[in-house]
Parts: sequence; C-alpha cells; structure tokens
Amino acid sequence: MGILTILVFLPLLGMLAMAFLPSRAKAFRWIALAATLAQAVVLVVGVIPGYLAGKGASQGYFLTENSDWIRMNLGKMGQLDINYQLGVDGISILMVVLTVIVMLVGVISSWNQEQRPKAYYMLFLLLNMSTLGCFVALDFFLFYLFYEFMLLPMFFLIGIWGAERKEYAAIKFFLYTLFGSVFMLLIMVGLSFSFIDPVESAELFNQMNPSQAVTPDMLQAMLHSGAGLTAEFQVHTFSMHHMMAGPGGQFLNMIPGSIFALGNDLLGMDARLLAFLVLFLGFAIKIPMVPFHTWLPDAHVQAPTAVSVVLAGILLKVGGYGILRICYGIFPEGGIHFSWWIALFGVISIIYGAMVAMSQKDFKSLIAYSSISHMGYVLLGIASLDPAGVNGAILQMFNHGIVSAALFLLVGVVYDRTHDRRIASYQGLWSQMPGYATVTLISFAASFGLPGLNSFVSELLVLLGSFNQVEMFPKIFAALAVFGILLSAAYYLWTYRRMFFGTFAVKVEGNPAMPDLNRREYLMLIPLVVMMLVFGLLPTLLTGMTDVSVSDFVVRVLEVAN
Amino acid sequence: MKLLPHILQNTHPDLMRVVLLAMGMPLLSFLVFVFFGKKLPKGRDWMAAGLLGVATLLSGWVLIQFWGELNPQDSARLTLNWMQIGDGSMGFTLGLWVDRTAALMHFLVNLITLLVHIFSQEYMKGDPRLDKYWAYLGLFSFSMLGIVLSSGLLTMFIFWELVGFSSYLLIGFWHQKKGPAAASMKAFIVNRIGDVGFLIGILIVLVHFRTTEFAVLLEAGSLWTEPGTMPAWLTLAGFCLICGALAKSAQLPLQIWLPDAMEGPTPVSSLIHAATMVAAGVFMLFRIAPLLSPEVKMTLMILGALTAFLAALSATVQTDIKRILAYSTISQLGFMVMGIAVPEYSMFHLLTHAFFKCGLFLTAGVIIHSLHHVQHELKEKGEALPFDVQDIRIMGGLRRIMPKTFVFFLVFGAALAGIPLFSGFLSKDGILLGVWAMAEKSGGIYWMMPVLGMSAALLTAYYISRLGLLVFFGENHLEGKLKEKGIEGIHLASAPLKMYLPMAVLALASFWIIWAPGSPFDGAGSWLFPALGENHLPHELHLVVALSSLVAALGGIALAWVRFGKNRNAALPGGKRGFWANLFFNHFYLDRVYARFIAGPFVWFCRQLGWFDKNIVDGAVNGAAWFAAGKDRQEQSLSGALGWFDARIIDGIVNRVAGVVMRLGQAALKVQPGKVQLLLVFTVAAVLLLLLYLFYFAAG
Repeated sequence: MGILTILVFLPLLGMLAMAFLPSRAKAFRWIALAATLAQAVVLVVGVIPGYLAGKGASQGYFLTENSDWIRMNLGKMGQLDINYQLGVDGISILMVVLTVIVMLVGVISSWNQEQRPKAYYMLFLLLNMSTLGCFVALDFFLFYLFYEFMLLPMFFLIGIWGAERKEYAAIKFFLYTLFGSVFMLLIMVGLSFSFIDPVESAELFNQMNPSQAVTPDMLQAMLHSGAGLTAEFQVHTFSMHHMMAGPGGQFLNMIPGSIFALGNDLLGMDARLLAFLVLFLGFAIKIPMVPFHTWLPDAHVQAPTAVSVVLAGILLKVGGYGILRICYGIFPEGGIHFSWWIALFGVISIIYGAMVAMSQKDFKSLIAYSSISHMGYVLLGIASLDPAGVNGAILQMFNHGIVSAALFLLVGVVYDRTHDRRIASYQGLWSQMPGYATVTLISFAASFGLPGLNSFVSELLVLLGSFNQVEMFPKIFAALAVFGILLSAAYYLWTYRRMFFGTFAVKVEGNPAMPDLNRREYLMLIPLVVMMLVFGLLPTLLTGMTDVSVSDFVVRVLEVAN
Repeated sequence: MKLLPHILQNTHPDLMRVVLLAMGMPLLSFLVFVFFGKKLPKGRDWMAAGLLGVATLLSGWVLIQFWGELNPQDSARLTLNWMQIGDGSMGFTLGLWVDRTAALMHFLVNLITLLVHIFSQEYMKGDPRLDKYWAYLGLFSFSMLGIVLSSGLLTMFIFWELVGFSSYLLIGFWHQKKGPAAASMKAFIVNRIGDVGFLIGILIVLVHFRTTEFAVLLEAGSLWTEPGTMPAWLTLAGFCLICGALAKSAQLPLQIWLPDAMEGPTPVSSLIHAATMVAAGVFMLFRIAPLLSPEVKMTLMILGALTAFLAALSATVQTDIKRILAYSTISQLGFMVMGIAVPEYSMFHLLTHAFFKCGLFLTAGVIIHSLHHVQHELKEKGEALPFDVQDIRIMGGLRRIMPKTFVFFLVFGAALAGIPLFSGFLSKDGILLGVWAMAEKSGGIYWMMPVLGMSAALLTAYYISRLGLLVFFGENHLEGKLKEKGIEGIHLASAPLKMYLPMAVLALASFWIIWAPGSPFDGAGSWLFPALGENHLPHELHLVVALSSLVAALGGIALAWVRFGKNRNAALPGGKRGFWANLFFNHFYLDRVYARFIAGPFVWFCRQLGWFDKNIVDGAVNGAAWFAAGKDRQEQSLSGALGWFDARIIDGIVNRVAGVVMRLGQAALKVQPGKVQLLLVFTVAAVLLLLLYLFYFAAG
C-alpha cells in the first residue's frame, strides 16, 4: 500500500472507529484529532521527503500508485479500463500539504462542537478524505468520485450545523456545484471514448494476435496510421496522464475521429473547446469566479466556523487545481484560446470582489468577498501561461488557504463570544483583546499583501507573470489587477479601524464577556501566523516544490499551441 | 533543488557583517519588546536606546570606513537569490548595497532614532503601552535601514511597505482616540495609492531588464543619456515609479496624509514624519535618477516646486504647532523633489533637513509635554479649563519660561529659514542654484522652478518667524487664562535635561561646521561631494542665487515682524480668517475635494455594487430557481427548492445521480447520523450504475 493511499484513507479509519462508538461518546473529537495528526505525520515523514527525493531525479509524477480497478469488456467497442492511480507533482503537492494543515486546524477549531458530534466528525473526516483524494487522483474517474464525494459532507455540514439560514445556503451550494459536476461526468465519459491506454492496448493486441509483438509505441503509430487501430483492440482509459499531450505537443493516445479528437465538431463548435468551456465553468463556480460566486457568501456566512475554514481554505482550491490539471492539462489549446477571457474574468473577480467586500456590513461576508477577490489572482496567473504566473497561481492558492483559514477562525472567535457577526457591533476591541487584535492585524496584513508575509509573494508572481506574457492578454489587465492591493488594504484597514480602534464597546444584547484569545484559539492561530511569516520570507520553500513541474507544464501547454 | 535562498555575491564580507549587525539591533529590539516587553525590568527603556546606540556606533564605524580605507567609488554588495522561477532568467534577487550615500543614510537613521529614543523616554513616560512603542520604533528603524541599504527596487519595495506599516502602527499608537484611528488608516491607504504605481513600475523594469538591482539598472540607464533616446516603456516605468515617491514624500497630489499623521506621538512625528521615512521617497528618486526620462524629471520638478510653494502658504496660517511643522516638512520635501535636477543637492538637503526638522519637532514636543503636565495637574485639581496643547494661540512668552527651548528653536528655525552659517542655507541654496541654472539654460517654463522656489524660501522664513513670535514672545495666554479663572499653583515648567540632550546634538548638526567646515557660504565645498555625486553647478551664478535667497529669508522674517512683532494677538481666537487665509488653512480644500469627489463616490459606488451583487447577480440565481419551479410553487424556501429539485431533476436522465444524492440528503437530514455511511455507499453505487448505463447507451 502506497504512502498516498495511507494518507488519503487514514480519515476513513477514524470514521470506522467512530462508527462503532455510541452517539453519546465523548471521544469523537479525539479520534478526529488523532486521524488528522496521523495524516500530518505521514505527510511530514513520508510524503514530503518522498516527493523531494524523487523530484531531484526526474519530472512527472511521484509516489505514484497504479493498479487495475475496474475492467470491462465492451465487445466490439474494445475495453474500458479504470485504474486506481495516485500520484503527486508540483501542481498538487502544495494542495496536499494545505489540506492536511487546514483540516488539522479545522478539527481544533470545532473542538467545542456539541451538537451531534458523531455525525459532525464523521462527515468532517469524510470531507478530509475526499478532498485529499481529489488532489492525488490521477485517474479522471477516481477524481470524479472524490470530487462528487466532497459535496455530500459539505452539504450536511452546512445544512445541519449552520447558522440561521443554513438550509437555503446548503441547497444553493449543492445545486450550484452539482451543476458543474454533471457536465463533468459527460465529458469524462466522452474523453474515455477518445483516448486509449497504449500499454494495455498493446497487451490486448498481442493477446489477440499471438503472432505479433507490438510495443506501446508501435501501437500509437498504428492508431494514427491511415488504417487506424480496430476498435476491438482499443483499451479506453480514464487516466489523465494518457489524455494529455506528450512531448512535442502530440496527443499520441487520441483516437482519430473520436468525439474529443482534435478538430471534431459538436453542436456546431469545436468539441474540445466546448468541453474546455464546460469543465471550466464547473471549476469556475468552485473557485469562485464572478459572476458565478453568489453561493460562496451564503455558504460561508451560514456555515459553522470550521466548515468555513475548510471551504475557503481548501475547497475553493479544488476549482483552481481542476482548471490547471484538467482544463489546461487535457485541453491545452482551449486554455490558450480562452486565456483572454479567463484573465478578464480574473481581473473582474479581483476588482469586483474587493469593491463588494468594501460594502459588506457582516464581518464574515467581508472575508468571503475578499476570498473571491484573492482567488481572482489564481485565474489571472493561470491564464498568463507564464512560469512565474502559474507558480504564482499555485502559491496564491496555498497562501490564501493559510490566510483565509486564519481569517475565518478570527471571525469565529468573536462570533463564539457574541453570536453577532456585524462589524458595527464592535468597537475598540484592541483595548479589550490585544492578542486578538494583533493576530487579526497580521492576518489582515498578510491578506492585503504586506511584504514579508506570504500573499505578497504569490501576488507578485502572478502580476509579474501577467506582465511578462505577451500573447495571452493585454498588459492593462495586469495593471488593473495591481489595484487589488490598494482595494484590499482599504477594506481591511477600514474594517480594522471600525472594529479595533476607539474605546471598547460591544453593541450586543446581554453584554457578553469578551475575553482575549484562549489557549486553544492561540494553538490554532499561531501556527498559521508563523506560516504566513515563514512562507513570506522564504518563498523558495514553496516554489522549490512547484517550479520544475510548473515550467514543464507551461512548456507542454504552449507546445500544443504551436 | 534549493529550498532556501542562497548568497550570490558578497563583496566585502567583513564590512557587511557589521552592517548586518547594525541592522539587526533594531530588529532585535522589536522582537524582544514584542515578545517579552511586559516582562522586562524597569531599565527596559535604556535597553531599547542601548540597542540603537550600538547600531549607531556600528554604522558610524561603517561610515568612517567609507571615508577612510575604501575608495570613493567602492561599495559593498550582498545579494541573495530569493526565488528561482522557470529558466532562472528572471532575477528575484534581494540584497544590500552599501556605498557612501547609503552609509551616510545608515548612520543618519540610526543616530536620529537613537536621539528620539532618548527624548521619548521622558515624553512617553508612564504610557501603559510603552513596550509596544519601543517595539514599533524598532520595527520602523529596521525597515528604514532596509530602504536605505537596499540593492534593488524589489528589496526597497519590501522595506518600503514595512516602513509604511510601522508608520501605521505608530500614528495609530493611541488607538483609543478618534484622530489617530482615522489618520493611520488614511496614511496607509494614500501611501498604497502611490505603491500601486511603484509596483507597476517595478514589474515593468523587471520584465524588461530581468532584474531590479540598481547596479544593473544604472549601467543600463547610462545607455540613454542622449535626449529623446529613452524608450517609451522606460518613461512609463519612470512615471509609475515616481508615484511611490510622491506618496511617501507627501508631494502633490498625495500630500494630504502627512498633516493628519501628526496625530501620532510627537517624537514619532519628528523621527518618521519629518526626518526619515518621508525622505525615503527622495532617496528612492536619488537612486533611480539616471533611469528617469526628461519628461518624468520635468513632472517631478513641477510637482515639487508647486508643493514647496503651496505647503509653505498653508504653513503660514496654521494654529496647531505640529501642523505648521508638518506643512513645513511637505514644503521642504518639495524642495528636495524639485531638486531632482541636481540629485546630489536633494540628498544634501535631505541630510541637513533631517536634523533641523527633527529638532523643531522635538522643540514642539518639549512645549507640548509641559502643557500636558499643566493639563494633568488641572485634572488632578479638578479644575475645568479645556485647551488644546498644540494650539499656538494659548502659548506665547515662552522665551521667558523655557529659555533653553527658545535658544534651540532659534538654531533650528534659522537653519530652516536658510540663514547663512546654518546648514539649511548650504543645501537649499544648492537646489535653488540648480534649478536657476537649468532655467537659464532652457528658459520658458523652467523659470517656474526658481521663482516658486524663491517664493517658498521667503514664505518659509515668514512662517517660522511667525511661529517663533507667537510662541516665544509676548504674554503667555495660558497663564493669563489661569489667572482669569483664579487657579493658582500651576505653572508651565521647563523640561527635564534628558529632553535637551538629543536636541543639543541636533542643534550642533544645524550649523555649517558639520557639513562644510571650510566654506560656510557655499554648499559646494562640503565634504559630502563628490560622494553624493559630481558637483557641476555653475559657480558664477552662485553669488546671485545666494544673495537672492538671503534676501528672501530676511524678507520673510521682516514681514513676520511687521505682522506679528507688535500685534502678537493677530491670530488669536476671535480673529476671523478671510477667504485666502481659509483657503490656505484648509490646504486648498484638497482633503475635502478628494473626500467629496473620489473617496465618497467610490464608497457609494461600492455600496451600489454590493446591492447589485445581492439583488441582481444573486437575484438572478434565485430568480432562475423560482422561474424553473413554476409560479404555483412557493419561492425559494427550502421546501420549495427541494420540491422543485425532486420534480425537475429526478425526471431527467442524466441527473439521476443527483436526484439520488438529494433524496439521500433529505433522508439523512432526518435519519440517525450513524446511517450516513451506508447512504454514501449507495451514492457510489449510483454513480457507477449511471456510468455503465451511459456507456451502453452511448455505445448503442
């Protein structure tokens, strides 16, 4: 059993343990903590060293696991092959690290969950498993399973444990994201029709024609020869690796004339461009891109703190990751074709999100809109197709994960004390809660891109990438995106002034006590603050993990275009 | 693969070690006070000052090295590879660069910070958050040292922002008061406006030169010395970069934050908002001057000249002692920006100004401090006599009460007014000479600079004399008030000696002797040249300019004497301001114009956008759900949405999975949570079934 399998399915063990306990047991949180801690240990001891050791040697995926899972004989249609295929590369490794960190923080922050703890923690672990699975799955089918699986626990976590309008928010979240994934299913099936697994196909071919001994290379050549490869010998695959272009920008495993073959039309449009667009839409909802963002403020505001943390910290990143790995990875020419629009919507998200954030009266929804704004940089960076820009996009996802997790925890701190999220209800918190004020100021500063803290690096890289590119979109987009740093400083400092400056007052009924951060709260916030600093000062810790894969990725994508 | 930055270049490792040690002192002070501030013993104030003292000594040693052992053109360089991206052609290098100018600035920043530390020990005595005060000061001087030592634009930008952030913390130090809360936010945001430009400029430079190291840029800049050969993108980059300088050095049109920044503690105003931080913009311009195209320089000179003149006008009518000095700072910074024509004199003026302006603020600090005492005593006695400690209209006659302060004021004021034998004369004269020479050469609009400059010089002498006359001469109005009210036993007291010590050092540096011992009437004879740059001003003009500026200074003093010498109550309460005075007093209503036509509409627009987002964008989503559900259905309540979901989606073929999921969802909302796992297994099965179904369907 590979290390990634262990990492992904550790939460399942925790769930199993919980399933045997009676609902009234108190140990659920400890089990959840143990499972996530074990994951952290596996990550630090196994995954990261393994990844780094492999990375020096070659490019591609590392810590890979591959085994046959489902094999179906389709008769004249050939065969269908679904693999259990895991692996990490520079695009996914940071997401894996982030997931483990944020999930751990999430468990600590839900320590006082008293309402149906058994279900809560089980769903939380399920969410953990499926999100991690998404980031390490290299088989599209497997990815899809994990992807769909994520929705479910999220839906319940918002719908059952949320705030006053939880049902509405849960349904909205569900419908919105389901909308994207339904189309993904169709395209996934279409893709498997269009690509073969050359190794398995060669094996099949040799089995049926014992006199011949074709190698995978020869088989690929046959596939693209005039006569083509008889459908009978085609082993259709879901492996994303086989769907991507090889060196030189050639799709060697693509079945000519199939639905997603180059140049095929569908509904009067290039089928691959259409597929790109549809998949992109699904991920754009997740990321979320203006104007498909409205589920996010509702989901965030209504979700319990830990769920908001996970939602902003990780789930949004699945969108960015999907765009990179699946949209750009499998349909690179679509990426180039639409880069102008993606960059435009990235910039719109940055500016629009920030401006709407400025108008928010609810602390939590302010942070939610700032998430929309900051995830716009991810879109812009990806669209630039420049090594700096794409690295920046990945770093921005990672950094935003850390920062937004902290920010939602901070909202949770006051909400726990007063059950009031309105900015106007607070004043002069600095005098009353100096520790809280300090951590909030640092997190705000990290979020508005203060140098020395992490987001500055990723935003700088994204902006540089989008200034450096020449063909994808006009540079004025990049110049406009710079205004994001001004707007975010404006809404954060304005909020800070209203809530933290002045003489202390809390305008909430019942005059709740406002003690400063307690030990548990420090425990979850301090590591995040430390990470903001460390990754802000030593960004190589991150870029060193991503850079080779990303440069390779960018080269591949651009090769297809030529 | 490297996970840590590595050193690319370290030319003078020994010297660099000392520089790093000096830079580390304030950082150490910051860290110690942040983490252990409350636990430190009583002598902690001296610890902060002590660390800065060590830094000052070390930087002094470095300075001596540069004027002793090293060649004039020698510089020490330390470069780090911060990140590596792609093929590595883009240089994300950070580094330190110590040349003579940097060494000077390094020493200056440390020295003034040390002096302000000592002064603050008295001024801030008894503040409950004193530990934070020392911490913030440490962070500030660390970042400021970073700016002056940075080897490239990227490094500079990082420290630049940190300086802005520590300035935010220090302006807002008394966070419970209303004024500082607003002022700190305003200062940071206005500076960020400039930083947007600065960052765009850096990105343009980085894309074209593949690096932001000054050494490379300056070499490249020398390619385009011929007029008209500079490429358009470089001109654009220049315009972007100067935005940063205009904001930080409080120049038109971004100067509005500085007067408000006076809400911070007075020693902070003297250190940050007079002597060091605000000069960072000028320093940056000095560093990149060879890269600036003639158009950019022209723009800078016009803006600088206008700022110098307009801010001086505003300073003539203010009634708050710190605001007078703030406008004076803006005006003097205007001189330096205008002096980009002769960048070496801008730097010279930056250095001299740092001392006398810091001194003026400390003078104000002494007065404010003693008035605070009076306020405090009144409060203890339970007497109600509200007054503003910074209002010059309650001062007057302090020559008698605080003679030492008065003497210091005379020295600093004379340096500011540009009286010969004082430091300000030497450097201001150089700038005026530079722009005059340029005007003689180019004519036309270039005459604007010397004319505005000379007028500003006259106004400078006028407003500082006015300040002196109103504050130090005549009757003390506060004592008068006390007498009126019959309150006895409360007197304005002279300040403790500890406050005068730093002022004495500053006063010494306000005489010519420190700067140009050999030539008290000509800055060109200063030992700073040629370290700051080749001095190539036409000598024949010197006499004319020096005499004109002397006439301007004396004229300003004379005017002030005529206006306030006898009738010292001219600006006292009750005297209404006329149209012009009002205009100057409110700094041409720039603040209000911005609030009314930019900030206000912007926030209004954001609110509209918020409404739009909630009602139109999100409304469309909700509306679509409602429309699909049919009119007889309820609106998008949970049951409505669920019902709609049941009816529409489940009937569809493709969405069967979703339907199952939803149904399970509904069920799970009701059932025991223990069964959830089972339901999830069903979901997986449903997905698999659907897939098989699709496959056969599609395969025909």
